[in-house]
Amino acid sequence: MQIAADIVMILVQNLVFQSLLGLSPAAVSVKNGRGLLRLGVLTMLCCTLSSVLTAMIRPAIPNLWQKLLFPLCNALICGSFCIILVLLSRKSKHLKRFVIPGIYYAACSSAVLGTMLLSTEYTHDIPVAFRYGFRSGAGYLGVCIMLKMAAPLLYSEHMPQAVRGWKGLLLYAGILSMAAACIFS
Amino acid sequence: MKASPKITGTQSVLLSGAVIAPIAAFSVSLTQAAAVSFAFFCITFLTVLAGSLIPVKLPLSLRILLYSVIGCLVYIPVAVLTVNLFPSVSGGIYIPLLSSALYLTAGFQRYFRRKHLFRDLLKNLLSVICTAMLTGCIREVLGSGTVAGIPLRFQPPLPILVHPSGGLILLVLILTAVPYLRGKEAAHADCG
Repeated sequence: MQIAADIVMILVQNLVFQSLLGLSPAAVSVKNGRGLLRLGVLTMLCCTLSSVLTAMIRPAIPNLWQKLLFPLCNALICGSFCIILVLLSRKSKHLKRFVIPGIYYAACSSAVLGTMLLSTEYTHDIPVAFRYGFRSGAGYLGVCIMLKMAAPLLYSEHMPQAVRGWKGLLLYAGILSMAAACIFS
Repeated sequence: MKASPKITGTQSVLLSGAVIAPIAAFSVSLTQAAAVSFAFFCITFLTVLAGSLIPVKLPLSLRILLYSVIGCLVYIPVAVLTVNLFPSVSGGIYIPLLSSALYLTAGFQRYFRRKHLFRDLLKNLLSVICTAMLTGCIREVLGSGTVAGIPLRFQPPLPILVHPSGGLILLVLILTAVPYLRGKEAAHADCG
């Protein structure tokens, strides 16, 4: 029952559709729509990890300073995750090919999603933060999959030259967001 | 001296994705667009200037981390200043997002020539501010039927513009139209 509720929440509380968060790294990080899946997976990992770590750090930050210091905490967590992954990927060629091209954009989208997470009340308990972070990441991965499916057409010659590429991708995301608002509101 | 085609042909900072969500989702009125523009200008200007002191020899991942830390530190006084200057505007999550989005700073730094950093940066930031203000103005007039909070004597014809999706579509249309108004050469540079 809990899993079903989580799946529904991934669709209903999708941060990309609701607030367009993390959409820009998705639009600009990919050439011809490639790498969107990688971006989604890395973002999901980073977002889940950063939400758990944030929940651990939160009690140490005074209430008055939380809003101002959250972006800094989040940037440090995502940046450290990024450095660790880059160092790990040096040991394996396959990992390097997977991680390096998308890690910086994934860190950016995770930082953006994480900032949203930090401004909510979900980061007081570690399990709740884990679930919320995972849901945000999974929602982002879902959007990346949807964009990837449409990318070949959006980057093809069938699109007018003026909106071909990332502009078409953003327009498509806008239409999806509108549809999501109509369905889930 | 003629500016680089990359600078004149594209809105590099906007294209690097740092401010798409704050403009498309948050700038629903002229006042909100002004608040987000002010915060973005201060945070990015100070961060890129301070970031230019970071040695290029450092590994990219470390440079990006340093950039975002600088951005988040700059965000603290800017957030306080924005709240005081625009008391009617609640920045929500979009002002903090501006500092998070600075992960892309290292990405768009390549657009700025080190020699003309100040000029290139100013030019790019002004183009972002103009886009944000134009988006905010159109959304307020056509979406809410007001100008700077003063109601106009007609029903807003496009209330969808108040929603983030409407804002995103409008922003893409502006980004598509502007290069064509500037000339075909710039438009081709943008589409590439």
